[in-house]
Amino acid sequence: MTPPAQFKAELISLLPSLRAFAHSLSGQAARADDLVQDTVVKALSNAGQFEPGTNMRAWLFTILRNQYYSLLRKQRREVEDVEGQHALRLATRPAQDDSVDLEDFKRALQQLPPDQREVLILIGASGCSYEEAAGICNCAVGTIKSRANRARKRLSDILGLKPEEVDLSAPAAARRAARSTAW
Amino acid sequence: MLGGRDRLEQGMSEDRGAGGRGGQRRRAVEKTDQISKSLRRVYGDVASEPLPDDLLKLLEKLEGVDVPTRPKGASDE
Repeated sequence: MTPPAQFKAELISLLPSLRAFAHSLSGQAARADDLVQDTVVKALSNAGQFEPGTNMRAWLFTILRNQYYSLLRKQRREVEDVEGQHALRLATRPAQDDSVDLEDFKRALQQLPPDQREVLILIGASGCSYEEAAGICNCAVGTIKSRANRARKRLSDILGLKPEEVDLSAPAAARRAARSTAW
Repeated sequence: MLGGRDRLEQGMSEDRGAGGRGGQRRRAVEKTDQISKSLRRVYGDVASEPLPDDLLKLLEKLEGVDVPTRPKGASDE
């Protein structure tokens, strides 16, 4: 396979992960797919900057993340809900129900500040290591760890989870589980 | 009143008990951690969807586009 063909093949194989990251980050299907399209175009036009053999997933996630933040800045429309007003509208869980409604979870996820949300997705769902996430978010590993912990705490507060249902040290376990599912 | 050895054995037993319960609790928490489970479902649901038509069309268009890739190990200099 020629290098350009290999580049394209790897890019295409990563599209499902890229879409999942974009959806979780933006919370809107249409916006997420626009982000993915923009990322693909940008990745192809900057393909010369990608060094073969390095981590293409991290490279693509970084491009997508930058696109997302520049879109947020342009629109000046933060999805963050500092006052937690939206959380008050979330459905409460019925007694004895030990599962979180997925729609409630998605809404709660969108209540997190973007920097916490992205870390939770990268570490808890996409299977990135703390180091990879730090590279993608352009910050220190310690910052990633504290953002992940704050995000989990905030989510559990929004969702009204009991302490025994939340493990604040869970990112490591989550990464193991995410890696075992090959996205 | 317990002798030294009895106290020691009782302590070890308590340690084992606490460790065991702690271990069981840790397993239970990992198993039922709602945030991790929900995150993986949200992410996995999208990742397992077929690619949307718009994206497939874009990929078709790009099929013939020349991609200027860098040879492995090449530097900027």
